[in-house]
Order: sequence, then C-alpha cells, then structure tokens
Amino acid sequence: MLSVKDLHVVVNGKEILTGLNLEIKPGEIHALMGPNGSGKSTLSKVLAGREEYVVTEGSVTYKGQDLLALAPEVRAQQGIFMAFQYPVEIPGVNNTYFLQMALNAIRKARGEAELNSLAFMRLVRDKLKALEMDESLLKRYVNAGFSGGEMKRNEILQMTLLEPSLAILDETDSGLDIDALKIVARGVNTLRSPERAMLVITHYQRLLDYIEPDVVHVLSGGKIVMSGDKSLALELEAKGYGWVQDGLEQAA
Amino acid sequence: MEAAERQLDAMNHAGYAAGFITDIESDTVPPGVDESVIRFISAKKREPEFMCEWRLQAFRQWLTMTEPTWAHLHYPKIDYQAISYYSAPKSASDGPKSLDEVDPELLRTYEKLGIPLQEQKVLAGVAVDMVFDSVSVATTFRKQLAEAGVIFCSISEAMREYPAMVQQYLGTVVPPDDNYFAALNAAVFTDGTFVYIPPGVRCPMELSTYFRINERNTGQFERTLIIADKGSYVSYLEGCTAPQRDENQLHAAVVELIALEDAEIKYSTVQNWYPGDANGKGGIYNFVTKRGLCAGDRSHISWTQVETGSAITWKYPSCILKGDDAVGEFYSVAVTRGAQQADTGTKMYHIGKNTRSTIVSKGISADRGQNTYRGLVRMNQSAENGRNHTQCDSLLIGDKCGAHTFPYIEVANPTAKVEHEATTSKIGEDQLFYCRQRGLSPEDAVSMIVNGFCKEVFKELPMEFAVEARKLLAISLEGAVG
Amino acid sequence: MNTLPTSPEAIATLLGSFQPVALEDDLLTPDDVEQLRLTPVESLRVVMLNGFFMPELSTLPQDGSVTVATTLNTDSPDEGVSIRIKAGSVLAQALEVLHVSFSFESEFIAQPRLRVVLEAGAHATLVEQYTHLSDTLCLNNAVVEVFLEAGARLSHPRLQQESLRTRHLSSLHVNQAAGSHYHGTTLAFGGAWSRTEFHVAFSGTGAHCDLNGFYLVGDQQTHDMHLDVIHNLPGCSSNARFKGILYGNGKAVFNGNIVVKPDAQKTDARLSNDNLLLSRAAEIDTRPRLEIYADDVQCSHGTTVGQLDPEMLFYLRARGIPQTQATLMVCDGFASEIIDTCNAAALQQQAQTLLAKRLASVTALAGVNDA
Repeated sequence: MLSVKDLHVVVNGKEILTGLNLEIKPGEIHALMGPNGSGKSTLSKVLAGREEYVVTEGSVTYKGQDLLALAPEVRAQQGIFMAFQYPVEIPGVNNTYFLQMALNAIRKARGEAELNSLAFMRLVRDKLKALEMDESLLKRYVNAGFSGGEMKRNEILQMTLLEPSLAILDETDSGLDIDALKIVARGVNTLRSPERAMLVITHYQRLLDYIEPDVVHVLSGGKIVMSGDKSLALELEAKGYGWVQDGLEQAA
Repeated sequence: MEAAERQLDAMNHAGYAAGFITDIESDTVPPGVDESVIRFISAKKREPEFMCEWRLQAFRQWLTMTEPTWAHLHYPKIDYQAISYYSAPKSASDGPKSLDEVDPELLRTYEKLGIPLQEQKVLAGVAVDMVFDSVSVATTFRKQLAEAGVIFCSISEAMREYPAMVQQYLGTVVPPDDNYFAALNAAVFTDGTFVYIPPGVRCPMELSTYFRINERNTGQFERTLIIADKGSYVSYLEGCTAPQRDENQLHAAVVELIALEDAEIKYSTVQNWYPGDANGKGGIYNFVTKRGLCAGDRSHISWTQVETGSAITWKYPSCILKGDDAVGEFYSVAVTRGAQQADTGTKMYHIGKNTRSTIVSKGISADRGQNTYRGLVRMNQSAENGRNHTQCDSLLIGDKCGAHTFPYIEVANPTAKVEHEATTSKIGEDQLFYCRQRGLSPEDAVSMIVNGFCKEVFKELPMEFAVEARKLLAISLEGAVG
Repeated sequence: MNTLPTSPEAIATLLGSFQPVALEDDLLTPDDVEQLRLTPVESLRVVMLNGFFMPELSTLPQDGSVTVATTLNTDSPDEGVSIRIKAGSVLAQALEVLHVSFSFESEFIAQPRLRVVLEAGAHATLVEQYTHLSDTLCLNNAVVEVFLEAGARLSHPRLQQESLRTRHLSSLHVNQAAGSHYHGTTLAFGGAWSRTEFHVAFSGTGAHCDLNGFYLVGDQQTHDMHLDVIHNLPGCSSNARFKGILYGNGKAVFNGNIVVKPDAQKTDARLSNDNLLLSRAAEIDTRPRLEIYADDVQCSHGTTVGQLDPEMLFYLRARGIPQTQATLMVCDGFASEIIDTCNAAALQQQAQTLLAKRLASVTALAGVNDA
C-alpha cells in the first residue's frame, strides 16, 4: 500500500530524514518509535503533504501512484488520514459542520453520494456511541478550547467517520490519561481490517498494550535503524532508547 | 499563502453578479446642484413648505463646509456639479397603487437580485419598501402593518401624511450641519424610508428596504428615519446593490434612529454596491451617516452590518446612549478586495448611567484592499458605571492588502470601564492544512475559516439575512479567497 | 488646567515665551549630584544643568570603552552630549545621565540634547533622570537619540520627576540595526504638563524593541504619551506596554501608533495601554492604533480603562488592611508591572517612593471607591 524509499527530507535548511525506507501492506499495523527529534513527526507531515517539508531525495508510492505529487486534500480524498499531534483551533467553525464538509468532500471524491444533515447526524451518533464518546464535542468550534484529551478524541472520531485506507497517528497517545487512551485504541481496533493499514507513531510503548502492532520500527537520526515484532517495543521500554544508540555505535 | 493567492487570481475573472442595468426611461434633472435644483426636488415631491426651507438651509450650510480628509481613504476629488440629483423612473410619476402597476421591468430587476416580492411576501413575511434610484416604487404589507399601528412608508409620503412627526424628529439625531455628506444629503435627499412604531408594539414582521442605484451618474441620497416609541420593538433590514458602471457613483445617505424608553431597534445592513473592477475603475462611493439616539431609559439600539461592496466606504453607525441603562451595539463584517477601501466603525457616546456598549468588528482584506476600523468610545462624566467592550479582528489575505485599527477612547468617569482588544493575522497555514488533510479543497477551507471568523457578527443578523450574508460572503470569496 | 499645545505653531509660540538662561557653573554642587544620583557613586555620569553639560560634575570614562563628546554634528544651536560605546564592550556598570533644572530665574528654557551610540555588539545600561532643585516655571525641551548598531543591547530606564510647574517636552528617537535589542522604561511623574514622544525605526532585521511606560497624573497635571513604532523591515518585533494612574483633575493622552510597512513580513508587534482612574474629574483619552500593510504578521493591541477592582479591595480589607492602604497596595501592584522592568534598583526604589508619597497625599483617595 505504502512504499517509502530512501526518503531525505529537509526542514528549514536542516536534513531531518536521511534515507528512510518503509513498506506497509494492507491490513498491517506498523508502530514507529524513536526518541525526540528522531524525525517521527516529520515523516507523518511529509506523508500528509505539509509544504514546508522539502523532499530532496527518494520516493513515496501510495496505492501505486507518486504520493508526493498530490495535494494534501487529494491525499485525504484517496484515503490518507493523519491524526495530528497538535490539532489546530478553528474559531467560529462548528465541529459538526466541519465533519460533515470533510466527510462529503471525501465521499464525493470516492464517487459516493453526499450525506444530508440528517443522515450525517445519524452516522455521527453511531460512531460516538461505538467510541463511548460524549456528543458535546459536536456543538463546539473545531478544537477551540478543547483539552488535550478532547482534541485527541475528536481526531479519533474523525478517523472513524472518514474510514481511511491508511491512518497515521502522530503521537496520539501523548498526554492522555488511561481512559482517553482506551478510546484511541478502540477507534484504531474497530477500524482494523484486511484492506486498511495504520502507522502508529509513538514515543512510549504504553499505547501498544492496547493496539497490537504487526511490525515495530525504531527511528533514529532520520532513518529506521531497527525493525521487529511486538517484542521489540517491550525491549525498548525496558532498556530505553540509549540501548539502540549504543547498539548502533558498537556496530559502527 | 499560495492557495489563497491562486484564488485571488480567479477572483479577477469573476464578475459582479448583480451588474446588470435596467432599461427604463428616467425623469432626470441635468447634473449639478444649486438652490433651484433643491426647490425642484422639493416641489417634485410636493413637500410642505418647511421642508423646502430646511433643505435650503442645509444647502447653504454645505457650501461653507469642506469635504473631510481624515479618513484612511484615497480617491479622486468628487465633482459635485457633475452629479445628477434627481432621477425618478418616469412611469412612477403618478405612483403605482399596487404591485400590479409596477413596471414589470423593475420587478424583474428585483427578481434578478433574488428578492422576488411575491414569494418573499409569502415565504418570509417580510414587508419590502423598495427604493429604485430615488423614488419608492412599491410598498407591501402596508395594511397589516397599519393594523398594528405601524407606519412604514417612503419618507416623501411621510412628509405629506405625517408632517408633524417628521418635523419633530427629522435632523434631531443627525443635524443638517453634522458633516459634509450629511449636509449634502439634507439638501438634496430624494427619498427614503420612514418608520414609526407606536408605544408597546412589537412590529409584527421584519421591515426591509432594498436600495439600488440604477441611473448612470446619479447620486443616491436617501434618508431614513425610524422612531420606536416607548416599549416598542422593530427589526429593520437594509440591502443595497448597484449595477456595474465604469463611472464612480456617489451615495450619501443618512439614517436616524430614535428609541424612546424601553424601545429596541435592530438595524441590519447587507451592503453589496458595485465595488469597481480589480483596478479600481468604477464603483460606488459610499459616504453614509448613520446614528441612533437611545433617548429613553433602558432603550436599545443594535447595528449589524455586512459590507462587501462599494469602492469607498465611509461609514460609522453610532449610538448616543442618553437614557440610563441604555444599550448600544455594533457588529460589523467588512470585506475589501480588488482596489476597495473601507474606513468604517462606530461611535458610542455614553451619557446615561449604567449604559453599556459592545463593538465587534471583523475586517477582511484581500488583493490590494484597505480595511480600516475607526471607532470612538466616549464615557462622559455623567456615564456612571458605563461599560464598553470592543473586539476588532483583522484577517489578511495576500501581501498587498492592509488592515488598520484606529480606536479612540475617551473616559471621563472613574466608574466606567472600557476594554479594547484587537488582533491582526493572516489565515493560519496550520488551519488551512488541517482542513485540507480532511479532504477539503483550499477554496472550501478558506471559505469555512473566514465564515468562522465572522461568526460573532452573522449570529446577530435575522435568519433570512444571515443566510444571504453568508451567501454573499461566499460569492465574494468564491472569487476572492475561496 | 493647563492645556497642552498640539499644533507646531502653538508650540513655537510657547517656546518663544521662554527665555534661554545663561550657564551658571557654580549653581550646582557635587553635593547636589550626590543627593540626586541614581547609580553608584563611581558610575560614569554625565550631568546636565538646564541643558548645559557640566564636565566638572560628571564622572567621565577613563578606559576608552566609552567616549563622551560635547560637539554634536547637528544643526542644534544648543550644547549637547554624545556618548559612544565601543563595539563589543559590555559595560558592567550603568551609565547615568542626570538632567537638572535649577535656576532663580523664571520662564527659562532648557534644551538638553543627548545622542547615544552603541557600536556593534556593545551592551550597556543607561539610566536617565530628569529632576529639579528649584520650583521655577521652566520649559524643558529634550531630545534623545539612540542608535543601536548590529547586535547591540541597551537597557534604558528613565525617570522624569520634574517640578509640578515645569513644562516638559521630550522626544526619544531609537534606531535599531540588525539583531539589536532595546529595552526602555519611562516613568513620568512630574511636570505641569509633559509630553513624551517615542519614535522607533529599524535599519536591520531581527531587532527587538521593548517600550514600557508609566505615568502618574495628579491634580493640575496633563501627561501625553506619543508612540510611533515603524516596522519598516521584516522580522523585527516590538512590545509596547504603557500604564497610567490618574487622580484629581489629571488628564492624560496616550497616542500609540504601530505601522507595519508593506515588506515588513514576520513582524510581531504588540501594544497595550491600561489606565486606572481614581477620581471623578480625571480624564484619559487613549488611541492605540495599528496600521498594517503586510500579511504575514502577528499584531495586537489592547486597552483598558477602569477603576480599582472593588473585589480586590474588599479582599484586602477583609484581611484587615485599611481602605487607604489597600488602595495604595493595588495601585502599587498595577504600577509595579512597569516599574519592575527598569533593571535599576535605585531608580525603581525612587519611583516606588514617589508613587506612594503622591498617592498618600491624595486625601480624597479613601472615599473614591466607597461608591
């Protein structure tokens, strides 16, 4: 589904990704771990299409096409969803209205009929119920005055509504209490299907107790330095990122 | 901002949706103004003698005044002798008795503007007093309003039918010598609207006037007078639009509102005069004096305006809060794009005790548009416990536009409290990206963000108008920003 | 009440009615300077009497990091002082410029002129004081120019405590080169009327300007604060914070203008003005203005005018603090936000003392907030 080859990315004149390779197949959940500043969030932003991130080398292929050539909204319409680490506030814009606009834009791109307000509300209510979330979020302005937990829940709600093919969760677990974490995990697990892939970016192993990854990668210095199964995450948790670093230095 | 710029280019190709010209024979005096023109207007309108004298005094006053230059506006000098001061559709000279008598061409004009009279009658229950150039051509719902005791008619008619009331109130809020444009208006105004709500009456429907400038080189000088007697309530909607012309047209209107004890007036404007083309050719010069007097205790005047049109806007709907516990409000959205310039805001004069005022101003500048908020909040020594809160926000789209904020705050009472906040920023890249990541086109994303930015003002508009304002903004943004 | 002349003509007429005074060099003594100084005794000090430089009372630098000259290369007919701080010098001790008005004549005019240049990378603190020894009617018309070359940093606390009969006009011009940093605080207490102007412009990018001001305006006083910050280049930031306390029939004007020119992208400009009115007859006119011609900017301004927060006062009184003292405490807290930005202990101390003394002397104060 997604194939990243030798990706080099420069932000503000500084190279952050230095030859990253990643293959994700449909149905797989990949966890991407790494210390602060290793380039985790940079990867997610490049995949979503943020313009300040300049790709100097390498390629990204998504469903057989050159992802880097597509505008952010086209990527979204083709099924890429990013749950933002810091979702931005949009004052004055009603959350329900925003969700409906987004869903209909994507449905239109898929050649599906747009949903009217009634049908949309029914759908949102179902999703909220499944996530055991409160309806009050809908009445507020997009992310305005949301607590950290509310913002992340709102991201997960959007994800379940938009039903992406590739979901990227950028440190969605950071700053969450255990209840909010469970909601995030529930969102991810309900979406789990053979056609759908996910890239879960996280600093800690904790989220992976609730979302079982197929592959765990460790990112360091702008490239993936280690990959393995779920046990790698546990080992990291026990030994810390220093262990990876030491291992690399010894190898070098 | 790349996305917005792309749309700006698109805007230059977008036309002005209301830019058609109605082909009707007009009864027009030659350009220029002197005492004989004023006498002609007064006679033509069969006004009482005192009105003619009042106009002439205003005219003599005007001759001694100079055009104000303090506004943040740049436009070529206006030749007041090149303007025609009277233009009336010929077929209207006898005055249509009912809608059926109105020139069908005219009615079609309104239909194009999206105000089908018949339909609006049924659907919205809005009474419409249309001003076509200078003469009011049709007034609907007169009977129902009359049953409630509400007077809603053209001001020329009011001068003939209710001269005592006109004489008592006309010019008491905006005196003829108030300012250059108000003086000119007092001398040459040709028509306008008169509203009187009797004590204790809640006006059964929203009153509405659509203004439209049609004749080439005609200035429109309408005058509106609204009196809300004790304990009454009225909501008045004013919509303005004008056809596309190469020349600049002058519009110098005066609106006076008077709210007596416990009365409330809500005055809403959606102004969509022709803004001129992208290079600043053509467009309306909109120099308007609007002022409300909260004369009685607990009276309440609220101005809401959505200004998307006009080449030049010079307009400060104001409130004089004279009665104790009076409330004044000003909510404004002003959009300038192309070469448009707006210098708009409000004045809140706090005189009575416990008077409160709220100002919310949202300016949006795109292209080379220049948007200025200018507002005065004055707390007199007598304004015990006066309160004002002002919020001015500016949104910039493109790097050639400008946003300016000039608040004047004068406080002479220690128990008064005034707060003013202003921010200026461009549409956030983060906001735009967030929306696009959710699949929205840059156009939809910008439109959504801008609508959110204006939310606080739109929610003050009556329902039908809010929908129209959003649509209007969307049309402006369709070309301008998305 | 004295009204402040605003038109150039009115100011010219006014200037004409004041006569220059001859330099009397034995008028001011080292003892006076000792009394008035706000920096340690050994600090570099430039003393100006009625606008004249007094070298024998000044403490001039020896090591060459600072040069003081008396000829200014301008058309000014008056004597002025030019201070130049060498590139890269970091002055450990503050420099002080002491302006003293003192004469037995009346209606005289003093026209002090000061130019301060910080060469590239220099760091310094300049303490400026305007004070008086005689209570004569005089006009003080001061011009101060500050040039900060690339990367220079200046901290500039100023205390204006002229006599209540003095007419005080001062204008400060700050010109900042790339990456320079200006941090100024002006505390205005004295003068029958006083007008302080600030003009800030940038000659390089990445510069930052902090302007702080406080004015205390009592009976028979008028204070004007005029501020012009011109962002003419990209990437500079400015933060102007002004506060005022007014009582008696004091009147103040705050006229702050921030202009962001078309190419000044990435400008961050803030302006705030907060006022406390303690009496019925006091009046404040405030005009915080923004003129913005660039889109990628962060600009804001805020203004408040109000009285002492009754809840705050009540809280203090509920803890047993008498009304008068509670009022003083709240006013002090309000002013401290600005006074504390001075970074000059003696000057801060002096300002706090002045504030307390002036407010305590307002006998009507206790009754102000009973309503």
